[in-house]
Amino acid sequence: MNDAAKILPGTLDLLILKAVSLGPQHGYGVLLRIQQISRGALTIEQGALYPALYRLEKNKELAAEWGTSENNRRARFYRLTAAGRRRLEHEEDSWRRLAAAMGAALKARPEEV
Amino acid sequence: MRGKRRRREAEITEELAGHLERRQADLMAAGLDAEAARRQARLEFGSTDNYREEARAALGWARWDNFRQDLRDALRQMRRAPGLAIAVVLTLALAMGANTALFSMLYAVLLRPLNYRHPNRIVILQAQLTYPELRALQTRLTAFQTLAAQRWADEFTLLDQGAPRRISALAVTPEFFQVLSAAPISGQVFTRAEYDRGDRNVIVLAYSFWQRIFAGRSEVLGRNLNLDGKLFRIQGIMPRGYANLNRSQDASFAGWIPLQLTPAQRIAHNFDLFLLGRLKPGRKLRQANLQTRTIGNQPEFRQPISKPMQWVRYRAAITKKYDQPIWLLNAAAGLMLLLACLNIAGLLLARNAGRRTEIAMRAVLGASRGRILRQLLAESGLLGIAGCGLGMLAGAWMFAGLRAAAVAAGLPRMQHAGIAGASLALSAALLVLAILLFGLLPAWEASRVNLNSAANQTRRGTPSRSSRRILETLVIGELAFAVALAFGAGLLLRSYAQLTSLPLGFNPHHLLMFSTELPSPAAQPSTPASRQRSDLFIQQALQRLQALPGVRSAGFVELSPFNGLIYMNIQRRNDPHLFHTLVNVAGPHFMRTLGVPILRGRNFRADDGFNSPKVALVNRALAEELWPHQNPIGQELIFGGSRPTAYRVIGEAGNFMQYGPFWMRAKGMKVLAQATVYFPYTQAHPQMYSFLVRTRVPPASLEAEVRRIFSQINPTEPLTNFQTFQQRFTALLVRRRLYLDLLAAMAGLALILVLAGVYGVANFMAGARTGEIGIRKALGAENAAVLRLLLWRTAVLSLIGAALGAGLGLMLARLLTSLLYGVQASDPATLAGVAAFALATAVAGAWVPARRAARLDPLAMLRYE
Repeated sequence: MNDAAKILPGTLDLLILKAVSLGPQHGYGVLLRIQQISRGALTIEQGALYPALYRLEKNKELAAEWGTSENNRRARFYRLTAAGRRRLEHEEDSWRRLAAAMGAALKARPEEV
Repeated sequence: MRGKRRRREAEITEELAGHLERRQADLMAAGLDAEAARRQARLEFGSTDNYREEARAALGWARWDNFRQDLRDALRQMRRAPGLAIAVVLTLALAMGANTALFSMLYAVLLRPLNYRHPNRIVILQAQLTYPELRALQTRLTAFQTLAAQRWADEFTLLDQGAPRRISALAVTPEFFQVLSAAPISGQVFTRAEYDRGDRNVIVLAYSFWQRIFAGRSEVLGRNLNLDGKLFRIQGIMPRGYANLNRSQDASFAGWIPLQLTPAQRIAHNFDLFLLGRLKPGRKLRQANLQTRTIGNQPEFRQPISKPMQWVRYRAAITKKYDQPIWLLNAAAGLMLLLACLNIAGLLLARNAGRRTEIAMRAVLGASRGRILRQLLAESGLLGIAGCGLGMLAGAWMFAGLRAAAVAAGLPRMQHAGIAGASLALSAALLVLAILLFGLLPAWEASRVNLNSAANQTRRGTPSRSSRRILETLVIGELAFAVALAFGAGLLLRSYAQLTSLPLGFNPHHLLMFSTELPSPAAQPSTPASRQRSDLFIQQALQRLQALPGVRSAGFVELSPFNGLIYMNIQRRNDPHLFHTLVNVAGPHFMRTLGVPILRGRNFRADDGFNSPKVALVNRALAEELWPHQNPIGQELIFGGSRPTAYRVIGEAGNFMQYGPFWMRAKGMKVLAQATVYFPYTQAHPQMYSFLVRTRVPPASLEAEVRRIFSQINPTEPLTNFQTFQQRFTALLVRRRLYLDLLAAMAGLALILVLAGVYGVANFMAGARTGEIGIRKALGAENAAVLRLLLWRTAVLSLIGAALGAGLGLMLARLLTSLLYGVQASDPATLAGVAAFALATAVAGAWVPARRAARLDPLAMLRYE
């Protein structure tokens, strides 16, 4: 995990929303899914996940309820709300635009200036 | 709410625990043993506590949580160091109490609106008018709704309510009540119609007088009061708070009577009338003044009128002479509060510096800087609230004392004053200011600890350079405020000392004085019968006083010292120049009883009768003015308005102080040597009878005997101003004494605060320099050298503070110019004296800790390091 990139500040919410949008998950599951969908390239501090989850829940972008996990233990499952989906779309959109702009900027050559 | 919250907390605990278990299980599946996996899971997770904290913040709980936690911590800290908490709370309570009490006085006397409807529209003309001037203004001023005339309080003897007593009443025109817009609580005020009909012998009683004399009975309406033998019908009673506001404790004030002017008083030479008016709504004081000045240029008015006539608001007119001292006292209290805050800031700063390790540890453990700051602020906030709460109680208590003293000293509007509601608001504002001043600075300073250096420090209480600098700045500030305060107190003290040590020109000890009058018929001037009666009364009184055991001598004079002045014009023979001179009427024993020497010639004698040649005594000042470098004995002076009479000067007496030095100076007169002429009572008819008794025993012990004599020989008139000279002199200075006492108390407290503050800082600094001192001593420094080293720093800081304080003091001293006598507001000797005293206080405060540090064993000190 040592060469995994630290995530950019502000992108944790986006990653969580994306991970949860693929199906309801408990906290640890969200963590694993982020690693999985980023192919292990992104790592987040485990403890930092929970304050972020609660903040999203307080903003009504995630909803949570207790359920049973794969190993038959009680766990708190998070799923996306309508507000969360809207936020995700919006953030995805702006992220793409930013990424495209950054990509174009970094590809620039002297003769194009 | 709390149950829900507790459930949510449990859920969070369960959720985090579940996370760790799953991670542990995954790690075990990857091959780690249970214990290693558990440790690894925890490591990866990070500080659970920290994230819990963040989680709470995310849920919006953190603020309240932290607040409660901070309060708990603060209380624990206070319990751990109760001495500090007590010092802080007491200091603050004293300073807040003084501010609350003094601001309440300021509010009651200067700011509180008068108890009348639209009091700001009531104005008074700052000029005494003649009757023609008054009429001119009354008919032509248009800016006013109503205008009323008033005279100085008239004095009467009340004859039919028990023992005769002197009372005063204000003579007013009927419009007076409209100007104040006041309705009586019982009966009626007098109306213009009644007034014009000539229905003039009525009185409207003041509430306090009604309560005192008639115990508040309402059936007194319609009854008569016998004033000087004339009957006045009681027509109405005014509500409480309507009094002669010029004098707050005028116990003799009875009420209002219609203003009556004899034809003689309607002429243009007699000016003793005032105008009082109510402005029309929306009219400005400036408009009234412009109009008045225009009218004042017309021929009815004295040309040129002495001072431009000016209207001022009634409230301002009543309290004008108290403005400066009251603002001054409040400024002083503010300074003391600032000083107290600096002092407390110093204490807290030193204490926090001692807790650097603890604070650094918190920071290392993940507490944010804001969190630490808030926690430290909670402590100072708690101390501040406790101090201010106690301060308000102290303020109420101090105000009760202050009110009694102020009423006794004759300050107006204090009688029924309470703690001002506004002063509570002020206290709250001061509290915030205080917490910011003494709380924020140390907290901010402590919260910026350098984690690495502080957490690694093993020695307690090493201050950072910046907190040392702040502490030193505090010492400078404390000295500055204390010096400024002490300078004010010093100036007042010197003025008071000057006033009380002025040479009086007579012996002030064992001297009893009182005045009385004769019933009206005898007081009428110069019929042979009234003269005879007057002479007989004086001779009888002196004879019987003289015969009292314990009396050394008794004398008669018309106006006794510090009781009144009459000025008249006299002339030299064959010289038209008029000399404005004090005139008094005396008997042969007056000078001897007072202890004033006859310098040349002779005193009055029993055979200077009405039909013998007219004689007069002059004092040295008059002799020098009228006949410089000549012998005044045998000279003639001319006196007597319509029938000038020549008097031969038979003697020259020493100068003595006839009246209060302040008053004399304010009127631009010589205080000690006012030119005076004395006529014998056998040749000039006195209006007032004053007696002086020089006693062998304490003068007050003769009061009953003296009163008995006069109740026999002059039963219908009371004795007034019955006082020893010392009492009279003290009463004259009572307000100055009050201001001095208050300011001196604050200055004293300020110096105690300086002593304590410097002690605390020096103690702390000496502790901080233990290692350095140890090395110096190990290298051979003497105790004395170390002591000098430690004291030197304090002395330099104090000197800077004292210099700043001198500047501040000089600025503030302008507020007390009206209270000074015989000393300038910039008096360098006083300034140097108080600065030296404050410096000595500061060095004394630093002495004990410095000596303790200097005496320590160097080995022990180094080991401590």
